[in-house]
Amino acid sequence: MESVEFWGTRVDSLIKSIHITSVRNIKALDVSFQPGITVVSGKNGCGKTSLLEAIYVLCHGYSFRTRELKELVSWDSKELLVRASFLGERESIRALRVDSASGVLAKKDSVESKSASLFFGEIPAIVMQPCDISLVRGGPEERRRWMDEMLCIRSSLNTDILRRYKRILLQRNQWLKQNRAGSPVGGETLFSVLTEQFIELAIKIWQARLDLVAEIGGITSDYYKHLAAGADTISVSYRSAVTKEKESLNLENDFRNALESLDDAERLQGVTLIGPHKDDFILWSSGYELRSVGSQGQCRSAAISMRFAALDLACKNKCPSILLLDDVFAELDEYRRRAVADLIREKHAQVFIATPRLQDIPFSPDAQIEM
Amino acid sequence: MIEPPSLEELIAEFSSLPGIGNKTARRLAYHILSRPREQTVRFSESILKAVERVKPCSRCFVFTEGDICSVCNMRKEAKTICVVEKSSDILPFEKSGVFQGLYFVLGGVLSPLDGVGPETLHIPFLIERVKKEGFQELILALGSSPEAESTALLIDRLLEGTSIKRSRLARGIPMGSDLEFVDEITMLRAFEGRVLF
Repeated sequence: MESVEFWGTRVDSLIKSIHITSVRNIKALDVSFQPGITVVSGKNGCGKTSLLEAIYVLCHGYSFRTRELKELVSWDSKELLVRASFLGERESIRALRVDSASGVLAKKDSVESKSASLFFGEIPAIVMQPCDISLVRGGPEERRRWMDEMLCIRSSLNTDILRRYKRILLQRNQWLKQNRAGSPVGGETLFSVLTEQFIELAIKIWQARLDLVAEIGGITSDYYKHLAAGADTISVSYRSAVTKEKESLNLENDFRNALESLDDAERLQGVTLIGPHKDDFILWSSGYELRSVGSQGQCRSAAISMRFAALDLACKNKCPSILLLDDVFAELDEYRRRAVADLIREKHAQVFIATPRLQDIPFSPDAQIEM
Repeated sequence: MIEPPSLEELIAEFSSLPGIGNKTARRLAYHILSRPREQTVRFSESILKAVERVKPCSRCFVFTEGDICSVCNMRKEAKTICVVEKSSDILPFEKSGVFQGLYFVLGGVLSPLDGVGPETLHIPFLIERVKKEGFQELILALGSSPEAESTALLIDRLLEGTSIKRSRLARGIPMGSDLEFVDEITMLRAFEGRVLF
């Protein structure tokens, strides 16, 4: 693997070059990358974020901007093509073609698939964007997604458990809806089978998430402390109607009891009222939820801390990784800008920073791409 | 596309088949037209013949031309029954010759989302048959999707309290494959299903 010394730290180069045709506002682009930190600059709407998005899609198989890969195809084109060469233990080529009519074709060296999920897992990429503040301010689903994404990066077993959980939850909700209408498929026996499957998967998710929070909570608080220069601190916890902060000794029993006590309500409302799909990752500041009491700056710092924590976790499992920063510096004050810059330098990650204003970057990058 | 309406219709019919996209459908339709007429007539007749003659066996729902399929006919004394999702799933069993029992085709898996319940899958009929005919073992050979699991669990539950042995096929590392290339999920299943030496 190619690497360079960068301010005393070894930085690996993961993505060597990329070719893009018809991705959003990028008509055609061929570019080679250097190891270390690359700044992508240019006017608004010139395709900086689209370049980061293309890199992200080749790492994860999905975009951070949309659920539909078809939306990435330029409005004046029928298909997009992204191809990149990655350096790992050996050089690897990844290519993605999305045709707005016939769908997706993903290629990883000689392996082909009609699903871009082929790319998921080996090269974790973490993206930071201005809208990340919704990680802190937004609803619990944003934080659940953040946790689950990390679980998926950790192990494909977690991916499988989460997928199964979602499916069983859908089936259980559908049964409850049908029951409310008076004609449930499969009667009570099927409901009790679905509930058994639901409990088994929920417990697996809780165990995985509690482990994750135990590991990542401290890291998140440490990053926050660093960004706030020790002026204020945050703590974190996992909130669920069933599990307490510490792993419950009798999770299964507690959950069964909770489900039983909610049975009438679930049947009345036609929906599953308790489970990992209702939980939250809470950030606390002096005994209050940061989400409601935090200032804009505090929430932004907390969101950045959560992303850095995710990067650490990804690096720990599958070192090294790619860090994509989309216009993050513009939102920060001078001190925090420098603090974020310091953190970036410490990482064994290949970093891409998109910015419309070069002067926002508080250091000189290894390479620069003008779009 | 400047194609006559009847050709367009043929292409649309082909593309309604599983695993066939627009391009393949068009290629097949053009190929059909380029073949000698007799060959195509024979082809369409065989489709009609199959549709008219083949129906599910009245005891196990495996496709057959008679009222009762050949397996049900030949293995009347069998005391083991293997439950599969679709009729074609019995072929690997029969090819390998490892199984000499009877089959039962569900025709799908339980899914409230698709409105598929035990009745649609003939599960009450299966349970009644298994209890009445004194089977010793019921083998569940269903897939690994959450819905297939629900189906297996439901059948297992409906047979609770009977002396019928319930088993399911092992899951894990395929024969001849290298451990190094086994993915995490397969490895977990293989590990959970490990057997004593």
